[in-house]
Amino acid sequence: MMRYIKLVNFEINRFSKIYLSLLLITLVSQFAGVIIVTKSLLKDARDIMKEERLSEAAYITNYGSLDFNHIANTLLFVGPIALSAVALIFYIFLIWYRDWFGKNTFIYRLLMVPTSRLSIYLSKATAIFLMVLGLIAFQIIILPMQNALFNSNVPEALLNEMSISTITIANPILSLIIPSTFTQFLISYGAGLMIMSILFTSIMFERSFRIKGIIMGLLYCGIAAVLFLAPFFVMGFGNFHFYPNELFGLLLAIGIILTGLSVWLGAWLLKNRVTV
Amino acid sequence: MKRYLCSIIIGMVVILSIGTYYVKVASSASSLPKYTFKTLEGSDKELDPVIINASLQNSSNFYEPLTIESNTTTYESERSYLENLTGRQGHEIERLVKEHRSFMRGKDSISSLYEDDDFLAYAWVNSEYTKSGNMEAKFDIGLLEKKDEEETSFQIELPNQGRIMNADVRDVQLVHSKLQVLTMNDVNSNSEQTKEVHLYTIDIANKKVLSDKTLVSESFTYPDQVDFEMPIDVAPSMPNNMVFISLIKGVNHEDGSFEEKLKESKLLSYNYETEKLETVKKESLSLDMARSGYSDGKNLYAVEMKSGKYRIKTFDFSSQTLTNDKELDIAANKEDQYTAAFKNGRVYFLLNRMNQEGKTNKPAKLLIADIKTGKTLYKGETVMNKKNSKIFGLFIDDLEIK
Amino acid sequence: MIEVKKISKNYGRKKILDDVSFTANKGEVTCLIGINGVGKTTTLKAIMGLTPYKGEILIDDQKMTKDSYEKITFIPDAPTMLPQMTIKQAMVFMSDFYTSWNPERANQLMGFFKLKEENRISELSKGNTAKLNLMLGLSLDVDYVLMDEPFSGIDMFSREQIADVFASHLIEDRGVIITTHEIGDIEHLIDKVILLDNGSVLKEFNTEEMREEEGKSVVDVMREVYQS
Repeated sequence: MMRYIKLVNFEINRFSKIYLSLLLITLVSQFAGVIIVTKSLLKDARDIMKEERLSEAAYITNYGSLDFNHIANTLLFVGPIALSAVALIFYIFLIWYRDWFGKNTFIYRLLMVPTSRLSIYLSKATAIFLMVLGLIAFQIIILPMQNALFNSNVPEALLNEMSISTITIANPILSLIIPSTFTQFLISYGAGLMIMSILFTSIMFERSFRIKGIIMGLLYCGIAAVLFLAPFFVMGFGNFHFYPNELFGLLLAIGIILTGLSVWLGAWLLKNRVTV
Repeated sequence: MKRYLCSIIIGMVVILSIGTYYVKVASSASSLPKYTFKTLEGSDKELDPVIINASLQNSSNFYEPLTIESNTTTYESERSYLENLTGRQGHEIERLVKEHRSFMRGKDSISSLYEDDDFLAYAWVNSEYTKSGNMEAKFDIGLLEKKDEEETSFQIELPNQGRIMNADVRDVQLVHSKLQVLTMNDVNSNSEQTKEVHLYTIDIANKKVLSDKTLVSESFTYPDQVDFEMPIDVAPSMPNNMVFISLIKGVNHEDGSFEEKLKESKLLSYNYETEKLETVKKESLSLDMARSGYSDGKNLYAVEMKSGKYRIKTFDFSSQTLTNDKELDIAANKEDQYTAAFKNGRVYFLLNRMNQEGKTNKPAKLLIADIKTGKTLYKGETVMNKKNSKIFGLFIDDLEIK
Repeated sequence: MIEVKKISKNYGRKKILDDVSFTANKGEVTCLIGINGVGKTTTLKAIMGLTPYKGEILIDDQKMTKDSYEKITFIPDAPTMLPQMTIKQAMVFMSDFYTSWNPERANQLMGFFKLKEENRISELSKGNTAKLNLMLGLSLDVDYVLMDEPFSGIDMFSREQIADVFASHLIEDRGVIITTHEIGDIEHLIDKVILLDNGSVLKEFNTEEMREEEGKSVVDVMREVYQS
């Protein structure tokens, strides 16, 4: 157990520089976005008011008031979220392949650590998952600050103040990364874990059987997808209908089984089939 | 310890930030205003079967669906994930699912269902479009014998489907062991549009379509237009002898407006028992009333606003006469919107004024009266448990009676 | 005792190991000799559980488990620690994960090899990298040490230094398996030789017996075998 925690910590430290850069980019870009976009929104509003000789109230009835949604839809705001997402998805692969193909073959050392290969597999999964959650947590922390900054920069007459939960519901990308309820949060990130375990296991296939392994890995992904979506196929072609809660129960059960199977298979391959 | 700093910080931040956020989300639902009806007149027992589906909104992006059932407000966000997964279903469907779970799989359209003491029947047109744009359609038929829970389910080809573009089941009846399926069809044609009302008779025992009767067929070319409408069915799954179809003819003007040709529009009634299609005389029932009316297969109830009061008129299908006309004890106002429901021999009448920016919200008023006598059984208005919630408006979606 | 029993391995259709069997005893230096590509490194990886194989390998009569890594260590010919680490960090990593890590011996070896803790691994010369590998591996209190080509591509002085380690008490009592194709530096230290060719054992002999009974050195035997 201690070795598992140490491995998780080790993996996080290895990624810390890139991770800090991602946090920094997000922070700078989003705050810059709030400041710059607010300025241009206000300037546009003033220009229209001047041109059409509208009062502030008339402007609001014609063009609507200014709210945080205007900010949350800009590239400066969404861009760093997308960048972080891409970086971490990419790192799902890199976290394994850098051990084999780095300048030094660290995989020798890693696989000779006196701990189960399952711990090694799980430590990498945990590290990525924790870093994903860390980014979400960071967004949750800075979002109220950005909202407050926006609210203080826009004159009250033009402002439509939004709460954080309304902002996260109204923006499609924010609502994806910060689900509106805790249950939804567990389900979304649980599904994320499942997908990551399937990808990890596909990587293990490739590392075990090389070119043949790529085909096996892709096949495994395909089988996993078919299994997970089986209830929908039953409904589509089998002409059988599941009630929503039955469907949910089935997907949950299949999801848990699939995740368990992937972790077991991945760790087994890492223990018995992987070649250094 | 220094080596673990990064991980410890990430771990703490994750737990604290995400934890705090969702604790706050959960508690914010309970800070929303709760609506209840304050009784002004009558017995609050009358409120028990009333279900109001509504939403709380403000001028920006706030939108929170809620239900007031048995005088208790529940927000969607307060319900469990599983409850919300099933979504808002009519309570009639909910009851049927509870009673006949296996039979009711995949059957969620109340107008496709028929229920009497012995049987529960279902008919649905299951259609697919081929690459060439043709429709391939089958009837999904289901019959449940309640006594021994015996299910019969099968599919049969929709007759003459080559000429049909779309078929929509509007009413299902079981008459003399034959299933009667009333559909509104769009017919495939190049030059002109054709809309038809069809009645299919299905022999369940032999799994055969016995007849395909075209009750009404109307062809037109743009800018002319024809539409069929049916009054709101207050008992869509119950055995009815009669259906009521309103035929609307009109013309589309170039500016996009639609003008009805009142002389050509008419009201039709069809009797399943006598198989008679008749035109209702306009003198006895006005077009307006018929269209805004609520039908239970025997009577048509219509709401009329007249000299500052609302009136409920009852029209009897079989005799084709107005049999009742009662005034409701509630003041009418043009800015108000009403939602009505007819059940248990009562009219449930909910008045709500649309929220306007800057104005304080008027409470919604609910009146429950006896249809026959017009006597008020209950009168009440909404009160909020939070005073500072004037920025929110209550929008009524529908009124359901158990 | 490490017992390698009839192990075989293929890469695709190519046979890397074909029914290889031998034993290596504690307190002895066993040398796997062969020209490049005869499966020496693969054999060591198989013993360490770093590559799948057919057959059986027992370490002190037991199969390899995770705990075996506290008893047996492998020193590959390439750097195995991350390039951005300092030597100090590499040592911390070892002491973090291995209960058999012996800090005193590590310090002794650091002094012996004249390595500096603050040096970054990416900046080490080839010779110093080999010394670092050796230092990390030998500082574990293990029963068996597997070394893969410890002398390849290393300057003369470093080679001498490394060879000195074998003569010192630092590997006393341990079982050592070493692969090499240049046995000159350590021929006098080798107890047992396994000659590999094309993935199978050509000849297995005890160096002392060979010298005494047939009067041949290891190099003599190699010449005989490979040139015939």
